Amino acid sequence: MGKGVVKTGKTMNLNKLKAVAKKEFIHIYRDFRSLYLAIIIPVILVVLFGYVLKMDVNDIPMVVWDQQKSPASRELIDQFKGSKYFRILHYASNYSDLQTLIDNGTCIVGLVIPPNYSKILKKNKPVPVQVLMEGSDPNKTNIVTGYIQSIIQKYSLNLTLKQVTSLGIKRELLPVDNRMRIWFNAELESKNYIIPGLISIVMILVGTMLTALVIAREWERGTMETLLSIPVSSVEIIFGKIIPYFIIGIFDLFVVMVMSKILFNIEIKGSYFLLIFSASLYLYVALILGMFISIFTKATLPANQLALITTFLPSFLLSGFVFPIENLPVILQYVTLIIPARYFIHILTALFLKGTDITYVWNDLVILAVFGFILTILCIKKSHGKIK
Amino acid sequence: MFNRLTELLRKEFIQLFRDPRMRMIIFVMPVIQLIIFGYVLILDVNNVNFGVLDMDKTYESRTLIDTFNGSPYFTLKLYAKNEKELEEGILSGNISLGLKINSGFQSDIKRSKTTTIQSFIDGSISNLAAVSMAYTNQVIQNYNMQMMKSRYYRSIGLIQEDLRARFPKLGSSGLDARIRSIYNPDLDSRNFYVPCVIALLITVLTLLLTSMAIVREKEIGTMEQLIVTPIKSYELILGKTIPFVLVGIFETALISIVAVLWFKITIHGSLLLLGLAVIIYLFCTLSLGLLISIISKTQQQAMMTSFLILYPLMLMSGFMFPVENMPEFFQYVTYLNPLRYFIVIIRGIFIKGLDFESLFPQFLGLSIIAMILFVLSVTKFTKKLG
Repeated sequence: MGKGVVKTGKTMNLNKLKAVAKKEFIHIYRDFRSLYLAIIIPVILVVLFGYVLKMDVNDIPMVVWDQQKSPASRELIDQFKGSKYFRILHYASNYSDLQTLIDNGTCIVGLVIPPNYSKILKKNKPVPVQVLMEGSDPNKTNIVTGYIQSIIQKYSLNLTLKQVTSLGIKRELLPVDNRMRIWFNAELESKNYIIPGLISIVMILVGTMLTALVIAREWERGTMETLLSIPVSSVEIIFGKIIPYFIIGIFDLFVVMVMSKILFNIEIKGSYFLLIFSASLYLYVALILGMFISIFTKATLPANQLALITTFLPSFLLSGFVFPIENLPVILQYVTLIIPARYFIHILTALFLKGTDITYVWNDLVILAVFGFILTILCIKKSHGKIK
Repeated sequence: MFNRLTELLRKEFIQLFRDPRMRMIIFVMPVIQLIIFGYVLILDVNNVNFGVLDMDKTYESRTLIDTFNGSPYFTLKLYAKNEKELEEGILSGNISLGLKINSGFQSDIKRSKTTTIQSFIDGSISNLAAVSMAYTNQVIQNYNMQMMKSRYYRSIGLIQEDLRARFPKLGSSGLDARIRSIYNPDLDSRNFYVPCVIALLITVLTLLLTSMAIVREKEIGTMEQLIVTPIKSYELILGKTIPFVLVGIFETALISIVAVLWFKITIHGSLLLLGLAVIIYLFCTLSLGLLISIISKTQQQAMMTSFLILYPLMLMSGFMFPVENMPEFFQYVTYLNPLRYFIVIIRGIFIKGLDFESLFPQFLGLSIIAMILFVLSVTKFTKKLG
């Protein structure tokens, strides 16, 4: 990136650029804690998401209040036992037992089988089976509801089939047999996509959050005037100051990649070159965005807050990192179009999970490049204005 | 002493609000963020984009596709001409479910045979995939139910009414599952997440603002000036914290009101209790912020240290990732996390309308942490000045 500008920008002198970069390097080196924090934070994130945080819903603790205890009711219970999503923890002997277990969070799901279960079943009437759920977490509840419904539906279908045969009608075959196959993340583990996604979070942190303070700090300390009075152009200042952070960001990329390979065996399926290229492009966008915020605010406190609000939180929440974009309200789906992280997350999933080649990500790359270009122009314009 | 303190407070307030952008950041941005994040966190999977490769192209196959498209959860996004197109749809992320209906679908259905269809699900976002799988199964099972019925009618050679007359019990058996969820019966994520967004926003805002407070004076060089004034160190610390306490309280009130009005959330519990919880919690975040500010030499350091603390604070609070899903050891670690207690309190008050007695353990935990952090930051601060 830097190279391309050297060729085109008339105000850019390689030696001066080096000098500014060197100054910023010294600054970072002196501020050693910021440097090692920039490396420790990604490590902590990988460990947290890899070992501690689980979004997957399985092994759901369940309590059953079987008021009948007949072979028929046990058959229903077995449907849940046989599923890998449920684990029957308790058999309650009354309703309040069941409710207590759900209330105190020991069990998430409670199944109530009525005392006349098999009687109603024999009469070929629908049997009311009550399922209680600790519903305070709606997302989890939705997933669990889906599991319960598909178990119950399947079992109901079997019951109907039995009933029909018992009426002396020839048994029919199932019309459609759905063979389901999961692509890319067959074991459905959330860490397989969360950990690669961390690369984007880390780059925003190092790229935007750290650089947002860079120019603002010089203004606040009053050293900006000094910088301006010496014969370096604003372009040289901007790029010189970016370089050290670029290096830290790329280093972090490798930290995350190496850790996810060694600890979790999560490996990139696409091309390494493409990953490094797109990560560099995204990092550049993040850096220049931070630089823009810094030039725009000229004070550290608003710079810090603005960077947080415009980049950090959106890159977590509006990028499709944890929350799928197609589930957002339509207006917000349009808002995500201006979040660079959205495109990078798409590239990361494509490269890490799907192993696609450039044909599926080139439009993301183009959009990121456009972001980078516009922000660069804005930065240079804005900094020129400030000097006068 | 009060004179000195009020003067310092005046200075701090002027500094905080002098900049119009800071006014925006403190008063307008949290409201916008609350609204946006409130919507984001409503993670209910309500839309699965799917594509279809129909190699049969018959009335029967279209009926199956319509059954999917007619379900509120599925939107037909791609009508693929060949397998490659379907594959590309999933690879590019345009669709997260691909259905492949083989030729011969119609004839199998007509001859009452079992026909096979294939579905491919994008598993990259595992949670979404799990829900899509369940929805797909439901649609297919419903379709099967319908088809089975018509098959039986046909195999007996009767039309529906006649069949009903002969076998009045047919088709009404099975289980009627009544799934009911306690606490949040309409399963609205808003009730669950919006209170947490409030907690999150005040955490981030107050922690980051205070963490910059003292280190900024150090970096600009105005700290020396402050030290030579006759101001006492506890006055300085009060002067630095009080504005943020007030901002924090105001902020919470503001976004809570917006939450109630915009997201139509009802606060089931006592407002007074909520206020008390907020004040204790603010003591935690502000002391923590100050502590960071005192031990940091530059603002960059302070910011990075804040993030080092913010991540585990946020992620291990049970906000998005339930504590009970964590490995046992880390479940104990979360007891050190003030946000964990605060989230339980704020959720308890908002959703369940719990009173002080039922939340006492959380209040106790929060107060102890607040006290430790406060004492720690005050003692650290005096040392630095001396």
